[in-house]
Amino acid sequence: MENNFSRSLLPPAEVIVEPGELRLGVRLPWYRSLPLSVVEVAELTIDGQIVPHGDMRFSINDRIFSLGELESQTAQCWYVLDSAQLSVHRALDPTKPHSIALTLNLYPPYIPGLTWVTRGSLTLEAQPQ
Amino acid sequence: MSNTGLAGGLKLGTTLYSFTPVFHSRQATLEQLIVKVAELGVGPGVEIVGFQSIRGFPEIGGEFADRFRALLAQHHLVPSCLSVNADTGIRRGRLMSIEETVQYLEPQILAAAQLGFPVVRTQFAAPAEALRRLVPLIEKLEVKVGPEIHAPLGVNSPPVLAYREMYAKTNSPFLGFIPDFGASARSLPAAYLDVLRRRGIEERVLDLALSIWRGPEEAAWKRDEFNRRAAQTGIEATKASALSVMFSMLSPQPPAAWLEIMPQVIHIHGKFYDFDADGRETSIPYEELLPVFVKGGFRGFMSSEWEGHLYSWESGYDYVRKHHALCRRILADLARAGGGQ
Repeated sequence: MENNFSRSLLPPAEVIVEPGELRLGVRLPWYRSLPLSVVEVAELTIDGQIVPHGDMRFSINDRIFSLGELESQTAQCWYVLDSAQLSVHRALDPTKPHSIALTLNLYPPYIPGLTWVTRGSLTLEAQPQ
Repeated sequence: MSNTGLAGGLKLGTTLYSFTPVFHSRQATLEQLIVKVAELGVGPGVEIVGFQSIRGFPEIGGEFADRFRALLAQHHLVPSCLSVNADTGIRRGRLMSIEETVQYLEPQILAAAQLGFPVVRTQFAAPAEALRRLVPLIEKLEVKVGPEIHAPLGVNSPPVLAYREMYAKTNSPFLGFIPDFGASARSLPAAYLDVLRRRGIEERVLDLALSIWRGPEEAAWKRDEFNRRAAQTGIEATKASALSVMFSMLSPQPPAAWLEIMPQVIHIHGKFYDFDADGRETSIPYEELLPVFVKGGFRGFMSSEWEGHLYSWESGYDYVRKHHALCRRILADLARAGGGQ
């Protein structure tokens, strides 16, 4: 189900498709900046297929992290107006449309016990050859 | 907009948090939102959330602080409250120690003083002992500091009582509380419930959540109870997460309960969602709440805090304007009735 940040999670204007790589701009689905340590990329699917976490990298503040490294990044702040980038090691056929869905979990650090789950999706149109 | 002639010492203002949709979607900057407050006539108080409005917070460059103060002054606005965060859970699986919490809050309180805010909002995630250790700093800076009493908490909830006990011992005029009027709600906003239905929450799941919300139990217990029952009935994670927010959004403490801590109230979050055709808030009884604070002798600012962005992506501008119209009307009635000091 959607929350109010679902629609802005994956801005269509911030998608870059390159040979062998898909790069997604990701907006923080919360009203204020948060440390990366409370951000969890839960699941990315491309055309319904789950992408293994090892095939993704998360970048922000000119730094690149594996998904497993995020939890230890207490000093790296995701400023609320900045887009992060999720790079996916995946070759996509540009002549076909693709559906992308991201589930991002936040653990707001001043609300113990809350897991804020946001799911956003995006369709990449087929490019004419 | 001046409050001269209105009842008592309750002054109006706005928190820029109300404009989260336009800010988050990059349609307006901090500077533009400050100007907007003046244009809409919803000052003079201006509150911001440090971690929302300021890149790099809590580090504040001197140049930024000068520009911020000058911009407010230019538009006849005044800094009312800086909302800071007690992020004790930034390490997953381990909460900060008291000393780490002190060190986390210290630069945020310094930032408030630098920006000219007389009041700082903290949160109960910081234990009372952490704030007690900050008393020498806040007395030196002469800023009032205190946690926000937000739903599901009330004046007699255990974390609030722990602070009240510490305040009684410390006896500093710079320690206080910030009531959020969402803790005195009589119902949940209809627009919010409609959005939940539209997004696919089944009626039986909504009924389960609402029956727990309306129950007589301790408000803090209700979210846990809902999560327990949701897990038992196999409700999908995003739905359970969305619904569990309702318990920390609004809770039903009677307005007069605030009198118990009135001398320690240093600021108010005038939470609101929607209005009926006559301009009354549909969930929160301002006609009862404002007299309690005015007659109780509260002196300070109330920030209009629209939180409709939990379910709506409207700008918030019209809602804040309506909220000020409602509050000005109630305060004017009180002044006529001689309710002010």
